Amino acid sequence: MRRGAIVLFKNGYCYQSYGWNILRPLGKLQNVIDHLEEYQVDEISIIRPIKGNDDDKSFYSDMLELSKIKSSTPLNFGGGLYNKKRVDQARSMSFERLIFSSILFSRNSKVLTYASNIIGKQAIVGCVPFKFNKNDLTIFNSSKNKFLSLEKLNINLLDLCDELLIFDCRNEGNNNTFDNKILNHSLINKKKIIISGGVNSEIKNSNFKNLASILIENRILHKEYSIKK
Amino acid sequence: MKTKCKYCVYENSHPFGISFINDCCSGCYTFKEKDNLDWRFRYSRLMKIINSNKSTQKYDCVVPVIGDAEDYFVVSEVLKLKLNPLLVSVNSYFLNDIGWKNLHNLFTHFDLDSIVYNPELSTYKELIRTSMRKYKHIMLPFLQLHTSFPVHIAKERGIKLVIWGANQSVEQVGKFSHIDEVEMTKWSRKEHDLFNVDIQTLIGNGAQVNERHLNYYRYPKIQKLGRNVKGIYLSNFIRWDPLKQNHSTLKYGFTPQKNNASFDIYERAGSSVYYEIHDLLKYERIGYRKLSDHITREVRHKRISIKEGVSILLKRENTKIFIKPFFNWLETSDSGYCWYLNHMLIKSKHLVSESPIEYDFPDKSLPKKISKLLTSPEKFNQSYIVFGKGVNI
Repeated sequence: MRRGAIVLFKNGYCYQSYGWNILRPLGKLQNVIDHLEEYQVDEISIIRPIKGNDDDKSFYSDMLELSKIKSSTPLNFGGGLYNKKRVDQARSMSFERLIFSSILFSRNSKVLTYASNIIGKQAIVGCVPFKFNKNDLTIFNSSKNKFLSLEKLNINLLDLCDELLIFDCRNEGNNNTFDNKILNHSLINKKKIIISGGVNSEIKNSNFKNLASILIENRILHKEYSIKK
Repeated sequence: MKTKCKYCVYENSHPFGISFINDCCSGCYTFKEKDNLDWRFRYSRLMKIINSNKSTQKYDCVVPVIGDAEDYFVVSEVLKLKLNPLLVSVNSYFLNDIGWKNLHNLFTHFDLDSIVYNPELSTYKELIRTSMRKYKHIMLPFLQLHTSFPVHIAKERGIKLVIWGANQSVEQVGKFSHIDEVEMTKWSRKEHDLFNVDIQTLIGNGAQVNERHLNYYRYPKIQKLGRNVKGIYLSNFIRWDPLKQNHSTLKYGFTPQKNNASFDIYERAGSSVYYEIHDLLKYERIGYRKLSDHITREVRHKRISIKEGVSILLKRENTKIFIKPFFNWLETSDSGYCWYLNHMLIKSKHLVSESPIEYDFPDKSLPKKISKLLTSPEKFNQSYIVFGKGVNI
């Protein structure tokens, strides 16, 4: 199991998100990356937290900043990969994997198929930010900035993804409170799973099936040497 | 684009980074936590951390000090926790007679062991020259040492805890929640204490320094530090109220100092530079002075309204500063001084005075809730005392 970090990056700056609601400032991306490397994380996922508010100017300006980043740790990227042009832009940079989220609600598979063809299926990660409303599973659609019922998700598109990032929105930013209930859901039964949202570094692989990776959020920089091998 | 907080005087130009939740800045948002947290529980969390990091060595913890009022408060709290601290200080070479008195009184009043590190002076001055040239900042060399030397001492002596007072990134801009219990990390040091300029970045290829003098300017390697040294902030466990706390340190013999840039007579009392050239360069770099930090803090503590705060800021915004003594200390020639004034002080040149200033602050315009926490501050007699043990070079 890989142990990595997830970093929110928008308009040239990193943020920490709490409970899918509050954005607190974090710092400069290069400084964050440098220290995560010193913590020996296996991968760093850089996500643009869009929530219905995105435009080309912001996307390409963030990509320009990202192109200046020096890192020897594999970087994954997601947030705003809505069309082929943006996928091409992300492909031209040295990302290990691309993360797709709101496109999983799309009725057609054009963008995902295109991405899979040009960078390979092994580099496609589907992101499913979820929360339970009582017992009903709802999934966040970032382009519409709202939680939708599971039926709205195009389940067929998950087959185009190599791994699935399951993100617990309600527990985001908390310590070790990830909602395990999701892991028994049929949605993710056959996939290699990455979990994030309320996850810390003490999680044990044996508690989860098909776990490929954990991504720790804000908390990773709150204490020295947070990754416990 | 400039974004202003509706509830304090901060804008999005804060050097720590700031975010806005609707029209409320992250600092004010996090400050509201203070009214809702169970501080008795927070204190029990502190006790738990202390107990699980008890030392078998002579000293239980390192407390980094500069002789500030906050240090008096931190030391008194550490003693309440029944810990035996080692006080570790780095000579900034910027103290005046009040500063040295406060530092030595801190050691003697509480009768504690201390280490004062005097960095090699010519290297230190060269680093300050470089820092002024590249970053318009005179404190970076000192901050490198102040935030790393105590950690070196803790590591070398097998002391598990380093206890700091306030976590400024929480108190000022609310970067983290108190309940995150953020600890001191190499990342945090670089991001907040050093404004992303570590010693390697600072020296670049322009500083004429011998690198063998720079060991203590560098934070220990994380791999070597391991999990053996933990740096905690008391402000995550105690409801932090600097003015009130600092006022309470008068009973330990702390001497406050009058300054012209802020009504806060406690914070950095005894420094020859903090409310002088350092304040001027802060304005030059980020467009506001220390007074704004203090006004914001007092607005949040509800001792002053935002309207009163803005009125004080407007009244004091053109307060002049006499910076020549600093350049004399730095052994800068007259032409060097003029060059810096004309070429580096682009936004703040109008604040420079060519002669000493008569201090007229704090004045009677302050709200009662603040003035009752102030006392008669002293004026310094001698500034820039390099060694405060009867030797002045």
